Amino acid sequence: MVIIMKKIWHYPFLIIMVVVILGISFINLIKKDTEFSEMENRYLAQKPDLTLSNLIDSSFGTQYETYVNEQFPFRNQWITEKAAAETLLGKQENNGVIKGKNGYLFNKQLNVDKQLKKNVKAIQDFGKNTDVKTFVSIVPNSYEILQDYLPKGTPNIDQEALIKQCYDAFNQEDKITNINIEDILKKHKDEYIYYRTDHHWTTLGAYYGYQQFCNAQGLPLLDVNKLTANHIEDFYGTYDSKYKGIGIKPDTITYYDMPIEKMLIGNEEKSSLYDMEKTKVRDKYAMFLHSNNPLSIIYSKKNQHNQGKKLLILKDSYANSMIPFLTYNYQEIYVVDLRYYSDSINKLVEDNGIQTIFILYNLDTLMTDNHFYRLSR
Amino acid sequence: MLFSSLLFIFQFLPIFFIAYYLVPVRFRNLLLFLASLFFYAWGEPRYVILILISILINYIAGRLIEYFDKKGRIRVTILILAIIYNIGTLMFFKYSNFIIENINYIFNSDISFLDIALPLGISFYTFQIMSYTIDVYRRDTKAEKSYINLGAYLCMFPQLIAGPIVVYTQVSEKLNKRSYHLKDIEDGLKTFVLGLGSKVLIANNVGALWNEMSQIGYSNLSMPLAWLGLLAFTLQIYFDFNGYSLMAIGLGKMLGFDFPQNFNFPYISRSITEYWKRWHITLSTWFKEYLYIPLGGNRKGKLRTYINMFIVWSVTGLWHGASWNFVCWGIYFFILLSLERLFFKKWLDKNVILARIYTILAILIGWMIFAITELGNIKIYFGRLFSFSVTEDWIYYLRNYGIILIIGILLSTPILKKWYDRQNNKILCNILLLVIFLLSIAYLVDAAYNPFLYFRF
Repeated sequence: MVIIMKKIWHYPFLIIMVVVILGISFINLIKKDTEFSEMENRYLAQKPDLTLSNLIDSSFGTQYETYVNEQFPFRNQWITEKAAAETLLGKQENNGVIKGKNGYLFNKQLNVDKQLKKNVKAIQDFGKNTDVKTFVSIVPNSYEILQDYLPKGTPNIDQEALIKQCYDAFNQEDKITNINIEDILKKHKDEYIYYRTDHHWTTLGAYYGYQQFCNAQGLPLLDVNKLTANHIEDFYGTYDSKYKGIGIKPDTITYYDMPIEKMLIGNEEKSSLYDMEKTKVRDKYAMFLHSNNPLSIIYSKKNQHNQGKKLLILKDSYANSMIPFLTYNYQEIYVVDLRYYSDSINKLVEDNGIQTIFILYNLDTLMTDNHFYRLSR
Repeated sequence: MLFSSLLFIFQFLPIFFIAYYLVPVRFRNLLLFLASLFFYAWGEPRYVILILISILINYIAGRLIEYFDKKGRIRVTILILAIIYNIGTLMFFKYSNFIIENINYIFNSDISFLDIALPLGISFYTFQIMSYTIDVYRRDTKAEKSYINLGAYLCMFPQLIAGPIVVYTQVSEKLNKRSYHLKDIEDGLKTFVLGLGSKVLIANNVGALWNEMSQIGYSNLSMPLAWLGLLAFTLQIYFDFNGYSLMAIGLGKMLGFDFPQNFNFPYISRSITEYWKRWHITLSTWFKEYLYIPLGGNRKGKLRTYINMFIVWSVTGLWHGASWNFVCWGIYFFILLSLERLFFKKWLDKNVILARIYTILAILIGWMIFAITELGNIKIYFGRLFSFSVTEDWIYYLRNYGIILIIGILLSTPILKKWYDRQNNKILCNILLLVIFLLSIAYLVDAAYNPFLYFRF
């Protein structure tokens, strides 16, 4: 032992490595597990249960490894170190998120998910069976409209062609009317219509979408300039949580004062469309419509345009920033998220005398969501 | 469990080595054996029993062959039985479904596939234990008297899952008596870190490029991108496999063993003949020793030599995976090796630059056949390589992967090694290795893509 203690100084590399490895292992041992990662906006793996069946099918092994990875000491610092190294290597992307010009982050989408065909068919079938006028809008994502900000040669899919294919399919149903949102967004592409760090469109983008919706039906347009605007700063969105890189500037969320009678989420009653608690946490976009719920019913303040008008909107989270504008035109808005709502849509429409249906999805979600089978109920 | 994982480096490694260095010498092999079984069971709990049986059967065979030293016929019978068991199990687990698939194709039958998984590392450990039994038969070594020692040899976790293929005679001495010095432990750790960096920093990185080729769809690739993709795979498989071998060699050194080198800068070769002396050296050595030479090697006339080579290369291909593209890959090299041997090896020796270009191209095309399992897709990819269709996609990938590809190409040459050897004061080298280690940890923490390419083995 004494000989070792004397000779070990000849091997500085060995000493440092042993210190580093034992040191981190020790910290790992005594450190308490973290439940939620602010930086990544998700829950981190906890210690898996050890059972005989887990052991034999090696799921315990996999889960335990994930657990070690996600609870590793100084996790956030290591993540940042990797992001810095990637940037040094000249990488324009990290963790499946591409960094483009003007600080914009984009989704990386190399191929079309097979689910898209199934979802388009489900919507077509819905159009066959419904008696109510149905509008469909597929919102293109930022990597389509803001193509010029993408690095040269980005091999993302061509959303324009895909949307056209979907619209062609919908045109075969008489009850369905397509509302094209691409052109108006393209026209305004130099404005702040998409968030830089999040996969959603901004309230301005949503407003342009709202404009198209009204124009398609000849409805009166709510003038946004007559409303009171509020701004929430320091919004780091979903793309940023995935990218985990350095030097990202945050977004600003704009929302307008939009008083309503009340909003029912299941049995809970809310007095405002906005959940201001969410403005204090990382996922600020969730402030719109209190995030995504199975069925929410909004009772708008009565005005000369919306009396007796009822709308059903089947949607993903993009619609959440558009719906406030729609309260100007509809006295009752039924908001359904197919991921959580599994009752019959047709029954909902019948029971409540809904006269208009609006299906609004962004293309990335329309490609991957697998809950459209619920439309047939 | 992979070496390139936080679980291994920060939990298994410290616990094992502390126990290993503290335990009395006579228990070291037992500890190594048990810890290796644990390591194996972590990734493959169901097939631990298989490897234990394999050790037992070959252990018994070895002892019996030695016992019946004078009785030639009995010795041969035991050897043959052992080989049948070894190859039989390998064939059953690895090739049954391949055989069924081909029977169905030829006879239009509809036999259903077996629901079996490939036990981890079976191709490696089967070859290793066969080398033992055959060497005992050839009287190149005495039989191992201790089941635990034989178990420790076969299972030791550094080379259990992905080689190098360590032949029993290479380590039998150290198996029974080994000492190690701090220098060995430090050298072993350095080699380990080098291997870790190779896999995590280079292989995983360029591997993502190759992976995206199939996501985009081979028929959509522009010509420059198709070549970039192939280059990426070429670098990925080298740095991954060499990285893993280095980690194994490094760990072996820390245990007191001297494992043989498995790769010697294969991509600087000037001919395919030279390439196979530098790539996966322990595998070609094994095939030469236990298949080519028993078949007669080059001692039975010219025609027989080429027949032997054909057999060896087809089997080499097949060893890599139960699929026809691997066999084609083996035969592809047989053709090039034969042509070199017959015609242009001398010309290659005289024209260095052209020889290198030829070799690199041959290697790249070889990897295309290896990397793509479906023969139809190979045709598509080959078409893209010469399509002269140029869109902008390669610009994106060149920008993202250019630097790492250049680093990969540079490190495929002995440049870094020569620099390292020239340093008298090793401080810079140590700092470099430390940086590699810390970067590797970062990439492991935020890892999306950390594949294990040898699940087919």
